[in-house]
Amino acid sequence: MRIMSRLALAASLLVTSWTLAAPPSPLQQDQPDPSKPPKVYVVPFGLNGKGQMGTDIHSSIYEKVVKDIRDKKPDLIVISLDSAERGKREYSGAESDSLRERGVNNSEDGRKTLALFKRDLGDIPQVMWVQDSVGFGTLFAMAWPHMYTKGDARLWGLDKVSRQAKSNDHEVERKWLAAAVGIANGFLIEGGHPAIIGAAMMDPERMLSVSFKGREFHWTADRDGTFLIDGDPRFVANFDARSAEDFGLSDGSADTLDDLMFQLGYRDYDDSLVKAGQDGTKLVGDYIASWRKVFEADFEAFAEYRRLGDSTDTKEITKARKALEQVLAGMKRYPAVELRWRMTVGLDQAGVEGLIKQLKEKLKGVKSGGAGGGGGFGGRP
Amino acid sequence: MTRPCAAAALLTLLLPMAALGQSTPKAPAVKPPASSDDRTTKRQVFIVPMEGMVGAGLRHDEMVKVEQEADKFGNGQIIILKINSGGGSVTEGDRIVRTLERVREKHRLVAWLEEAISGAAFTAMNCPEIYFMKVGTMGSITKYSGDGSGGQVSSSGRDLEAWIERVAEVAEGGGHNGQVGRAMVYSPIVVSYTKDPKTGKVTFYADATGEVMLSDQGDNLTLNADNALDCGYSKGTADTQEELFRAMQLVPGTYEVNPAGDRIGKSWLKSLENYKKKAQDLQIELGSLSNVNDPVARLTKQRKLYEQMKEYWRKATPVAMGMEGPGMLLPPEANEVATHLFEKFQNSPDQVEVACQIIDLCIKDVNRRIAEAKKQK
Repeated sequence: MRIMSRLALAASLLVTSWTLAAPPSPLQQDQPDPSKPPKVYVVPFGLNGKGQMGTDIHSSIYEKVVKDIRDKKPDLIVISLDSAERGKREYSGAESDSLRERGVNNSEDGRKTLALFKRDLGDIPQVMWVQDSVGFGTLFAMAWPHMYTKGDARLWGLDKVSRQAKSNDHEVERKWLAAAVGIANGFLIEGGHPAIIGAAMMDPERMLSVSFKGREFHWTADRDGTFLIDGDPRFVANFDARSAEDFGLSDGSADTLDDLMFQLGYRDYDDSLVKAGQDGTKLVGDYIASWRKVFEADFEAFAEYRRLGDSTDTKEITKARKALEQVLAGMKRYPAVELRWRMTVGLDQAGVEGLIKQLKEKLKGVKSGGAGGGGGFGGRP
Repeated sequence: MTRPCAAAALLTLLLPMAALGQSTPKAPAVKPPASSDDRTTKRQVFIVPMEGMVGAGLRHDEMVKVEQEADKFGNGQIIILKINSGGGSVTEGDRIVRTLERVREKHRLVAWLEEAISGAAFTAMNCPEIYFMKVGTMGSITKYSGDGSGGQVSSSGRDLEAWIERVAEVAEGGGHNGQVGRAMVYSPIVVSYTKDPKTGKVTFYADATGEVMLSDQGDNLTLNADNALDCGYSKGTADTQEELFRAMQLVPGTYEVNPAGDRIGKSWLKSLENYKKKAQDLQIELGSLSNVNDPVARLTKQRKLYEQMKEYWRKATPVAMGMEGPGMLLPPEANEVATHLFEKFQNSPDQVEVACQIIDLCIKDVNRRIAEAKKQK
């Protein structure tokens, strides 16, 4: 018993000494001072179930976040992606999408956001941590070479790319599909993934299988690999936390920041920014709450315009104009608001400016005793 | 809606037939600088942002302007077209080809691609050197037009054959493989390649013979940074100007970036935005004419707006054509007053001129109505 205890103690000392002697995370070597535990800055891409691509996740907020990161000088950036359409886990396809919360494929803005992190902050180590991703957010998930997932995360929903390319002309459809897949694949290439994985995740007709060559994954666009990922031309390839890790798309799974840091090889880390609400979580959270509030208020203002816009009373016309000016101000302040307006009402800034101008013309007409007409764009004089 | 039915029908033909009819700035003959004092010893690098639709934001006009700037420094300057475009007008593509064929004879012509889809890929092919950003794409050059009911129809038959060969010819003219271009046009066309592991030499095949299948029978080809680099279509991958210059093997101290490239590109993009706004205002003012009680005053204002329309056709053709902005700028009564000119408009190589003729007829009609209104007064 005593001997056993001594052995156990020796073993535990061995483990301890091994632990103490363990090399720091490879990422830590990139820090200005590798001997210090890394100061972590978390940036949410979507938060608390609000992760619509194009609105909640938009370059305009990340421009601010990037400035904040520069000020705070963290050693590690953790990008926490939570973009699963409506934030619900029972997602079962397009039919259950909420139109309002459906992500928008704005590759231009996506590339802008990517460049903010990859180019402007390229000197700071970054890790993508996927909470859940269904839809275009999956492109972001795949755009960082260091990717971890939550245990129940999904990397789904890129079939939306092919759905957008539908046409009644076969060649036109192939054209737009190739273009959309090519553009979207740029994100995977940023993450160091082969384009054929992206093609299979977007285009149902593309097959995907994988084999191992030593420790390397060898992906092929057929069914001939050791593991068949997608052999059905009706569906696209999707990955979850487990399969993403098994096939080397992710580096592992982590449910908490502690787990993540451990997985990354850090024995200790500085979470002072996170705990003090000084990382990106507050900035992004405030932004999401704010643009959504502005949108709802603008919606009410637009109802006011609709109620009063047809009036011939100068006071009411003026009120209607002011309501539209409020909508326009919201759009100018937040691109997300403008996008939501386009999705729900079909109006953008130019459209609202047009309506305001129409009301001004109408007001002039009413004041000069004219007909006070001029609704809609143009119209035969 | 101010657009009459006939004008709407014309819009459907926009892509293959957008002959913008703008006068092409004439390229000056290249002269050596007047004296050695006038010339910097450093090679000039012009980086021209080309964004938006081909024919609207991406036009040959800006290329010609940059060519003229480069020519001031003698042959051998460097012109980099920084392309981010989803395509557009085929006719404009032809103008671009003519311009770039000339430019590349005198200067080092480079395409730097973020997004080069359709007509933008066609543009890039003219450049002997192509570099991709990491997220870059190039391809999908299938030609199509509107089917008259809101759908799209791809070219077929002889038109398709001619287009396939035209793209291959342009690719080869730029020093690139033609079969790759063909595969970007029509999905059944196959291209594969084998790369010599020792020399890196790439041999393309118009079937599946090659070791790497670049585009199979069901695929319309769109290259990305990885496969473009591997097959040699891309000379390198660069996300920043510094990376690009390194990839181009520019020796520091031997070149300088000339701001004219950026200025010319951005200046047009800004103008385009301004004209979009002006065109929208014009449409609204037309729609609000009923607010003017006095018929003579109303018609006089209408005439003034039509004069403005003509101006936009000449100064901002893409906006007047409806490629950008609120839609095609034609008087609402054009399809009644000038029906006979619509067919001419569709088939004319100078649509601007015909559009102005249509507007002139409408102005004439307004003048007649002004005279009548004055009589009634």
